[in-house]
Amino acid sequence: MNTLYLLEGEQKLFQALPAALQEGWQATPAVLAYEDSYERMQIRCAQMTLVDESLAKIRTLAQEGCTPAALVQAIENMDLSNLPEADMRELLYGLGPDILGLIVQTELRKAQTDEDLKQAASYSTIRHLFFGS
Amino acid sequence: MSMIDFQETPGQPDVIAPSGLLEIIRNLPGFKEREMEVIREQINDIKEREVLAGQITEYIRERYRSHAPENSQAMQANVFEQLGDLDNILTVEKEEAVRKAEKFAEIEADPEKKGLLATAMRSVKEGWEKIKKHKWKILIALTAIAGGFLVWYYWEYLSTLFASLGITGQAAETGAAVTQEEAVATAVEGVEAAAALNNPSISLVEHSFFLDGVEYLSTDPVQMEKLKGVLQAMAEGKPDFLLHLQQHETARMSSEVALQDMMQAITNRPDALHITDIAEILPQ
Repeated sequence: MNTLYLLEGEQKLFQALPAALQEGWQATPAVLAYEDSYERMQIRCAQMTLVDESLAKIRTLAQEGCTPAALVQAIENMDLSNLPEADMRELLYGLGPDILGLIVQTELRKAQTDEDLKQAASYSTIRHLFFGS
Repeated sequence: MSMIDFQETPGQPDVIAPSGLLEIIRNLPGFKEREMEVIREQINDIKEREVLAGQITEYIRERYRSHAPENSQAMQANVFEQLGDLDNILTVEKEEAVRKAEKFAEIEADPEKKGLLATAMRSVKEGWEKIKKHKWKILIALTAIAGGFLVWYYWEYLSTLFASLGITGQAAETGAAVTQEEAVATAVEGVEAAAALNNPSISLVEHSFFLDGVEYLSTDPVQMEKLKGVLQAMAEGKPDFLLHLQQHETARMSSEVALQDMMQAITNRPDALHITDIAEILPQ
């Protein structure tokens, strides 16, 4: 995986990286076929079909308006490395293009290694597959 | 096709409330919790939602034609107006459910896309394992959305989060593993996430306000408290606050004077602050 699917602003972030870091990576223009909104975010979140009990619990806690401390505790206890692939797909789809894009941008801003770009590429690919045209 | 049996005794459903929908139903005057539970159970099943949406809407409509506790025209008009909202929400929910099912099926049917997604998700998971902040970022976003994204709540949450990670100015001074720069960077990222979640109608003023404000204030717990106060003030929707916000737009909240000036114009409010409150008072 050496392709980054980047929106216009993200392309600029990539181009601002040192040439040596850009080497080996291909930045492809991304076009989204989906306009996100706060309402749709919430709907997608509610429609996630989660098998993992810990992740489902975090969502329920947030929906029920628990205390921040309780949420922090739940997240602290959450082990995403064991998350089933189906839940991961649900989660990443549920977060939507804007959140995924934010992560892409953050990764590009701070990128210093190929591993950082790999992360950006991965999130951009997921956004492209789920929400691209 | 039979109507929903509202007499059936419900079990203890694993409730996943569709956003907005239950709230509207809940606010319908005279509705009993028993009815709510059954409706909630039924509409939780997304496969049945399309069929049930019409039934639920019709049931509620009939319920108010015949059994409204206060059978006034005004109340019925109010209920029917809310039913219009309900119809809209159901329409969007249906669109989202269909789109998601189609998209997942499309990827599943295409070996290239399926492989690409699997590879990307594997890489993302590696990131979650290696970099603790990635996990937090994802789950913060999830909880912010699921929780209705209360800005005030979010700040409380971030503060608790920072504390749990030992990210404080004091920790930096005493040589803790997390540096002050990292704390600020984390805060900025968190607030960027907050801004990205915002309603598009919220202007860039707020975005830069958040970014510069937190960058300045996150280094000092006392200043952080002031920022919280400012956020509370935004919920007040006071014209003088808006004026101050505009006046100090160029100051970007990075000066102590600007903050003090703003603080004089506001009164704290203890309850939660919703993002839509901000959207209403900020310049468009």
